[in-house]
Amino acid sequence: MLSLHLVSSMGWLGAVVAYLALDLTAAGSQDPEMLRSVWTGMGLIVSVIIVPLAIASLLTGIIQSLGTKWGLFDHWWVLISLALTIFATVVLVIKAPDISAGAAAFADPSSGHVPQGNSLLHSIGGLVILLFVTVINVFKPAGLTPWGWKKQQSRRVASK
Amino acid sequence: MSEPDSELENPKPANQATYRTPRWVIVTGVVALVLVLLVVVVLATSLGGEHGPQRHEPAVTYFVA
Repeated sequence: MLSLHLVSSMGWLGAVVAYLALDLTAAGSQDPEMLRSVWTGMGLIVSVIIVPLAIASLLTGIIQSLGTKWGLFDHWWVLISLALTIFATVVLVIKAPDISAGAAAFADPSSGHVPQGNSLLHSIGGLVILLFVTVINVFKPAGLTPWGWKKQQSRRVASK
Repeated sequence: MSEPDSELENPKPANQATYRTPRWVIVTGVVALVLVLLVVVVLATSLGGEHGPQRHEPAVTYFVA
């Protein structure tokens, strides 16, 4: 389960970096054909790679934490990781259909529709969140949540 | 997540009589709040410009022959 969680989480991070490269190209390009290609790539990366990996990362993370001594709500680093992963996944699931539908609509050159703009706010924001979650998952900074602290106190009393 | 529990190795936090939120959690919360406010301000004032392909669909300026 840990292997699945690591692979899905790191795969998600890598796919976001690939998406960001295309997003930066979209932001700096005026060429309609380039924009059409870039948005097609972004649509594919989001729907085929990022969304499935995000959901897999969230589910395997929950199962992994519940199956170990860390618990889901006992340690701040787990709770913050969970909250940020849920937030990123929800935003992703909400925005992904827009990106995919937009990319599909612009994929046909005869439509005369050429995408402009970018989704840098989402890609950079998502990358920052994923990097932060990765760092606290690696270093596991100490700190019990109030619930974890109460649980530990009651265990301490029971053992006396 | 299967590495040694630093809380178990270091019993200091558990010996506290009252609960105290770790400093790194408070700092993280403040930084997150500032970033969220910044994003809200940027979006509300449109300083960041429009983004995403569909927002531009009704106002297409390019036309590919």
